[in-house]
Amino acid sequence: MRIDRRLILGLGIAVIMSVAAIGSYADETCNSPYMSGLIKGQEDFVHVWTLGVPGLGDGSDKLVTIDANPASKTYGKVIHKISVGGRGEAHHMGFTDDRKYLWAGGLDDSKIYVFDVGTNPSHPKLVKTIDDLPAKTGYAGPHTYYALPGRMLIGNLSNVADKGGVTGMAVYNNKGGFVAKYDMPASTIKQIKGDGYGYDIAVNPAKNALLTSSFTGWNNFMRDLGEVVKDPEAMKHFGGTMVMWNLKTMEPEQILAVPGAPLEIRWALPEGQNWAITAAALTSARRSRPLAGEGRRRDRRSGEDSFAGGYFDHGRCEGFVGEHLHGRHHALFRSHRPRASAANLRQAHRRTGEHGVAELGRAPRLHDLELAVKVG
Amino acid sequence: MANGTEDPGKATAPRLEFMPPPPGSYQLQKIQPIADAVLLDSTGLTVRLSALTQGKITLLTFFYTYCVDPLGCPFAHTTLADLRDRVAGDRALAGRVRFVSVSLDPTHDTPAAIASYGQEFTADPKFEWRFVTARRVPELLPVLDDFGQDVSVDLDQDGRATRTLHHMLKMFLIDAGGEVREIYSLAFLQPQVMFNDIKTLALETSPSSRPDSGARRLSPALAARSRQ
Repeated sequence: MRIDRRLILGLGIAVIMSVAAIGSYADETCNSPYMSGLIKGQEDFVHVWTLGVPGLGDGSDKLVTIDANPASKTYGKVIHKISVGGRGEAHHMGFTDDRKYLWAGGLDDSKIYVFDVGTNPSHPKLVKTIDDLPAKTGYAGPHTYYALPGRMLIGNLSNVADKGGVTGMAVYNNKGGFVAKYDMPASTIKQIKGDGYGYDIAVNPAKNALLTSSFTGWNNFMRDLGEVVKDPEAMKHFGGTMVMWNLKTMEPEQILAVPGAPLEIRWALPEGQNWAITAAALTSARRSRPLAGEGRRRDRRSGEDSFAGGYFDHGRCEGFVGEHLHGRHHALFRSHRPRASAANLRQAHRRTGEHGVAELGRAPRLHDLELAVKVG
Repeated sequence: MANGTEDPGKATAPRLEFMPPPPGSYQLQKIQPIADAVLLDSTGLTVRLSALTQGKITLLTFFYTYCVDPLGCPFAHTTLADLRDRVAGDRALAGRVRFVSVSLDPTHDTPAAIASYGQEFTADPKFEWRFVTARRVPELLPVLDDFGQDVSVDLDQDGRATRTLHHMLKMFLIDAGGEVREIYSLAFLQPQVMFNDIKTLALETSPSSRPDSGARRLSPALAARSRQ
């Protein structure tokens, strides 16, 4: 049933927890690794950015808060919800650096909602709606919200001109004021041509490194997934690159050919680590390579198929990514559930932009990206 | 710790594992202007915040005198002392840079308290390093809100306030026109990078003094990318 499926997917992709109690350290759920107020102990609330569905409630996207304190009488129940008064294809959200505000966006209408979750986490308030992203930048489909000190770096998926995948990153200050824009490179850098596409963002401050990935534009992600995969022309318009930026100068320094729509990115941040990881959507090979190699490049493929081919069950993709690649579980990484990967989403009714870690129903292709030369 | 995983949230000292871009080879974003306010200097006189954030390149941070977190206020001021020495050694920056340390606790950090605390940092009369507080908390709160500087009082197990103010260590680089151009949280407190940022701002207003230390002109694409 389409409604149920979309709701479940929506719940799965935009869940963030708030903490009121102070205890021991635990895992951090946020992308940005250096914000304040990191999670300690038991979370008290879960904030869920939900897709509006016609005929269900007021039909609008909502921020829903669930009591997650086992000692509470309302444990496990919805205790608060805020309707934003429309459907914009609710997708990801992210905390500001002080963890007091949640920025949540719509892939379709390109609106960004800023919720105050710090004053009273049990009752968030909508304090600002940012609707000038397309006008200020020409970009559309705000996707990733990555907290930088005092500002938000937003990775987008599309543009307003042709609604394709050429896009860029936008910077807003924490008050919601536009600061700057940076186009994803479509030029050729070091013999590799960029596609101009965008998706995720990940920063490694010790290396002055900003890594971005690429997915697809509005023309594809708002279509029914089943239609897209049967449309050879549409399938040509997926990203196949990652870009290493100089974080200080915000200039692209290297483009990496990473076929198959590389998506989520995580850095290994502990001292001595020199790699990042991504999971690609359209193929299922695993690749390990330096990001800036000259003679030191390793390229190990443990399995690869084309999207048009049959399902390729890459057994080593099971379990935690950290275990898969490095024999240990690292808290920075999320598990890639084979059950989600194995779902035959060609028969599912959902838009291409609705996704979990395993995009498009394929076993995720994992790319272990090492920084051997750039910072070595 | 949870399930034996490594905790990524614990604060660690910043690391510098790259060659910082040379001054003037990049442009710092114009992040936000600063609203004015009235504060109290270490002699007990009122002072406008705008007088401390305009006319010179300013590095501003928040602190409290009894902070003992080794990666908190003491670390911030150690970093600033390092930068003060670098600035003092660069003739092109003479008289063009100031530091401002604003107390988070007007109740305990009186002018006398901040004067005592700041003694070791303000010994050089040629370098302007101002320590300021506020007359009362309600006059400080709008300043904190404007800068986006969070602060809260840690509570003990009985819910009583402790002497620990929990705040995210931030340092704000402000141009001579009073606009925030860079914000450093702990992971970004890399003195060489910060020094290059200061010099980059200095080069904006004095192109004739562009140093020869590897500086280069902004690329046309970079210049066009600038918002203003």
